[in-house]
Amino acid sequence: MRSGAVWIASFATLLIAGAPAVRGLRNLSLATRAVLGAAVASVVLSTWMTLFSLVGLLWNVPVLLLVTLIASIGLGRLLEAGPDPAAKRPSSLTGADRWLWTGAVLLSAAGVAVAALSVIAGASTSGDFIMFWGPKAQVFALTRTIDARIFRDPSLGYLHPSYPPFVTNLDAFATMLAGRMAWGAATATFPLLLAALALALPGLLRATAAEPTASAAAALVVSGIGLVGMEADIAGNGEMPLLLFETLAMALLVRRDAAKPSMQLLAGILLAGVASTKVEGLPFVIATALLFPALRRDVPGKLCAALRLFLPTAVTLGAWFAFGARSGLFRGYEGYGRFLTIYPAIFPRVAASVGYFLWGIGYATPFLFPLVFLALRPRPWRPALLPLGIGATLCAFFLFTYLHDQNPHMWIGWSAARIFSPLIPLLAIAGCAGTADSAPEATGPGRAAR
Amino acid sequence: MTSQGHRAQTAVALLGAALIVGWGVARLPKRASYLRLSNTPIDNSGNKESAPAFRLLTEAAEVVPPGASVFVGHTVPDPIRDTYLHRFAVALLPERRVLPAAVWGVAVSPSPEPYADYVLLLGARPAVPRGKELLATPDGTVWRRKP
Repeated sequence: MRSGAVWIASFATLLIAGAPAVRGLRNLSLATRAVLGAAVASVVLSTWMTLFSLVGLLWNVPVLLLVTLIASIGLGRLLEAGPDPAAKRPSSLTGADRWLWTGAVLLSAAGVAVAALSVIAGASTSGDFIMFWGPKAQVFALTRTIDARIFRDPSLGYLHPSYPPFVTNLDAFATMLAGRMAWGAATATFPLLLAALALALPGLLRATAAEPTASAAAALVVSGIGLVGMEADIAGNGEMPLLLFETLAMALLVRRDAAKPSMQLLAGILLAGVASTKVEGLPFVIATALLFPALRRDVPGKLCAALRLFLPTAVTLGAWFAFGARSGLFRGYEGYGRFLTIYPAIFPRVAASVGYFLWGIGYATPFLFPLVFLALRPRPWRPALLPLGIGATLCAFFLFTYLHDQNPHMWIGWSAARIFSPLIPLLAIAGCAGTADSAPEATGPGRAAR
Repeated sequence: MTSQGHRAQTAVALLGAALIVGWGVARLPKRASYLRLSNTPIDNSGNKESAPAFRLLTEAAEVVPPGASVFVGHTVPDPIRDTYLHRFAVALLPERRVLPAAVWGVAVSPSPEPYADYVLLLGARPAVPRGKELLATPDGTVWRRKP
């Protein structure tokens, strides 16, 4: 029990290490800044761990924290947010808006509480966590490096050597601090990261959507991810950190101040978290780096903007693939056969299987309500195009991937709800992005001239 | 003040969140108390059929020392279930050399059991003892083959 508490508490070091990186984001709420800081620190820490493994340095917790803190201080000189002209703080709400905001906060808290109860009951633990993520992290913690030797044992081929290292690095970090892998505590990362999302998301969306719509969208995202997480057993695996990074990055990029280079760099670091958490994170990052400069008219220097979004991913994944090449294990991701060898004729069956497995209250409602929320959004639709374009790209990528298997019904069964879950935040963010401009308080003097 | 259009959109989001949370509450396992953690992290998950393996392997970690080799299998061999048991053993018996009864759904032949220091069998107690019995639980047994 004690080691479990230490295992979870070890992530508090990220709050401290990440604080200098976000000190310039003073216009954001304290909760939003704290979560963003910890998220940045976690990406930096994981990248350091990969780099240490690449050059043959053994992991040492104080040294890792020190270099993460130094990098965080350096990033703090680069990262600053613009003013939030559209933001209306909850404390200024009155009447019905105040009630709606209170309801949104309570529902977000309830969504996190339900996820926590499901973890207490052992009802949402991922089998992949026990058989894949956890054992890798445990061995890495014991050997104080990404141990290439375990990947050479043919009976352990299911550990997927090339799978990106973020989760296993962070779990190994906590395991080193706690002295052992705490299997139960590690599943608590699901409600904890969901709580982090609940704390940070309203503060980010408040600059693009009027309160209480911003908080209501956050409640929809938190409850939806919580339910899909329970139904699809994601506790302990890479889904929750992936969803956290994706949601925070997208909420940043639909803000007006995302035109600033420093905000693009911050989003780029979060996107590096996306790419280094799961394989499907890379198409998300590539789509974002291409679509953001293309769709935002107010972003000068399109190529530089794309580079700011992609460069941190190039560093983290570059270190990972360099490690793979140096250890002779991999030079790219393991695929499902040849990339362009697909079975287009089975597309109707793939679509039917996806529909079959996502049909049902527990799976469908978390997607359905964000869709209705989106349909009710006021014009103009242009601010919604970025999250919608990325959602469409992800859907195309997943369907394309399924087409590599002649009979993917079972594969779709155990994966569809998890891999399509980023659509929940993407639809909800699309539903409120840029809507602050159409709210009455955003059309006053000074706005018309913009 | 927010416009009526915004309020309608906000109300839909809150209604959706309320229904989703309500369904989540309904889907929680019925338990006597939520103040106590479940016995294993998978007791009520989609992998709950592996909970006995989780329990036995966790208890086995107390009697099988680091550095030892341990054969893991079911009392009644089943290559599919033995494959998953091996994967759980790799996770829950760190620093031990886990010798599997089956990998990738195929029984390992010849069986590595004779080369193991310890034997862990999930299921009923075997008719023939495998050495000195170290642990016997409703989930299975652990034996020391070599002194």
